[in-house]
Amino acid sequence: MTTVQERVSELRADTSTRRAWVSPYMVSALIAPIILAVWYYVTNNGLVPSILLPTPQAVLEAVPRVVGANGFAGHVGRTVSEIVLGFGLGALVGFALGMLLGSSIRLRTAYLPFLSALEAIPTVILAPVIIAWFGFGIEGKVFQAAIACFYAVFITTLSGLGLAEPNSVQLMRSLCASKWQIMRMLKIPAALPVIFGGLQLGATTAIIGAIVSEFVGSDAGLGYLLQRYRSGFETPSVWVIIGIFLIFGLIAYFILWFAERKIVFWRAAAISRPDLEKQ
Amino acid sequence: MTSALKPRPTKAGVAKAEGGESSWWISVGSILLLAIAWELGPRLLDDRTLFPTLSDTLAGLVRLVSAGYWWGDLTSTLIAVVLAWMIGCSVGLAAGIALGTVPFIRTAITPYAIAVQALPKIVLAPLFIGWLGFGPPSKIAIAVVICFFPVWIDTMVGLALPSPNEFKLMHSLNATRAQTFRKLQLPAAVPMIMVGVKHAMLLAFTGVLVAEILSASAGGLGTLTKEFSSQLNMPLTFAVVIVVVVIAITLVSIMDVIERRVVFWSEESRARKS
Repeated sequence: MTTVQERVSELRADTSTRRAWVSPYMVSALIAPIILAVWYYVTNNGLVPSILLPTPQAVLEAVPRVVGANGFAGHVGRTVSEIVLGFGLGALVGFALGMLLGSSIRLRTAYLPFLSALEAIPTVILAPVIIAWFGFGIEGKVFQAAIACFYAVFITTLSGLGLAEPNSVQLMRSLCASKWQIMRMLKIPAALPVIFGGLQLGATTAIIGAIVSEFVGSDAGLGYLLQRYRSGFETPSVWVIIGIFLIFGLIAYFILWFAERKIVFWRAAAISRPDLEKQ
Repeated sequence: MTSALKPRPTKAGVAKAEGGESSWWISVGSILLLAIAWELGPRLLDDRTLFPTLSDTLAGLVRLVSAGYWWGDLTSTLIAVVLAWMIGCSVGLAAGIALGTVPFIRTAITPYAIAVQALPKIVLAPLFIGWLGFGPPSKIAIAVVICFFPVWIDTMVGLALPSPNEFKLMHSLNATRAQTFRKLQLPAAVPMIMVGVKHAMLLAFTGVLVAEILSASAGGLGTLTKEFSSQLNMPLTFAVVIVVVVIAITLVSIMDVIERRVVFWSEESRARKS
């Protein structure tokens, strides 16, 4: 004869063992080896020609070759500075213009019709023009990255500034707060979470802008390196560069995630973990 | 691309009707100022080859439109964009529904979703051109790879939007999984999916243009821009850029209309209407 309590603990044990049996994180950890195994299998058995997809061993062997090659650090530095400078410039201009339009209803209504046009423009179409203007040097890449990321920061700043509660604005006004004080103490803090969304978006578009510009015409940088390896049919090295770009993307992602947690600390609870549940 | 793991910012927040202050003169004035600057700037710089004036550009546009040779490029770009967009949206939607309805799988693939998001997928463009050649298949493949991602993520996030209590309610009403999906999750997700679908259109366009710029013999507006600019024929280059911008604006406007029709119940479109 079992008491209710025993039954309950039995049930509990049951569910907890079931939980522990397959946790999503275990599945998560299994996916990568499976992908690697499939990759290994199809390339080593000639199912996919090695010129298209090299074997994992070949890519691994290419890592020291690519990283140890003369001037590799220079190429990395070049691409990193393009992205950082371009992103900085574009975000700064976007933020400034967003603030300008965000603080004046008149300007906002005047320019609103043009905003959606601005959103639609695929900035990559300007890549050949920018090469013609700036040449193969770093300036053109910075410019391309800047125009690629400008819009995201601009529009999020603008829409974020409208997020403050009208009641709070009225309270500030009734306390004789100046326009600047309302901006600094109420509107900007309210806008920051949204602006960070824009910065994250802008970081990825800035990276794309810099890469495309390097592909189209460059004298240095990782995109240039990738094109060179590809035209030499050194496919494993190409994949190494793609891996480096993946690492870049991840670093950018986590820097911004970390900055968001530190700067928008009052929302830190909501951004505990960079995952899909985040809203 | 995009920090797609978050709902993307939209213009709706900005687009609320604000005050009746007349400001049309600012709009008109700015356009005039811009036009004058564009016309005079290159003359002052004394470099009309690299920086064509407004009148040069308009003349180029007239020359381009009256010439017959580029219509093939235009249609080839448009077809590639629409095809890639449709394929990308279908794949993204299917992946989102397959993976987004089961929380377990969603948690399991989250790290991979972040990795796929973090990779600037445009770096794959040269590879695709190597695999599939210079023709339309490589263009479309690149655009699909770039544009399916936001649809996938937005579908997945959107399906998870209803609160646990709402799921519990459905459960307590004895709703089947399909019913919960159809009556609770899908209506919650569609506004978000539409944002992803709209974004995918722009990304598909970007992907096709990059592919065309990179593969010199592919044809299309991207190739045209590159050829004109390498001949330093800037008026015609700018004419093509203007055509691209007009197409992009048209595509986005069409998407806006569809979005308003489809998600008439969402807060955002309600706010827009009032």
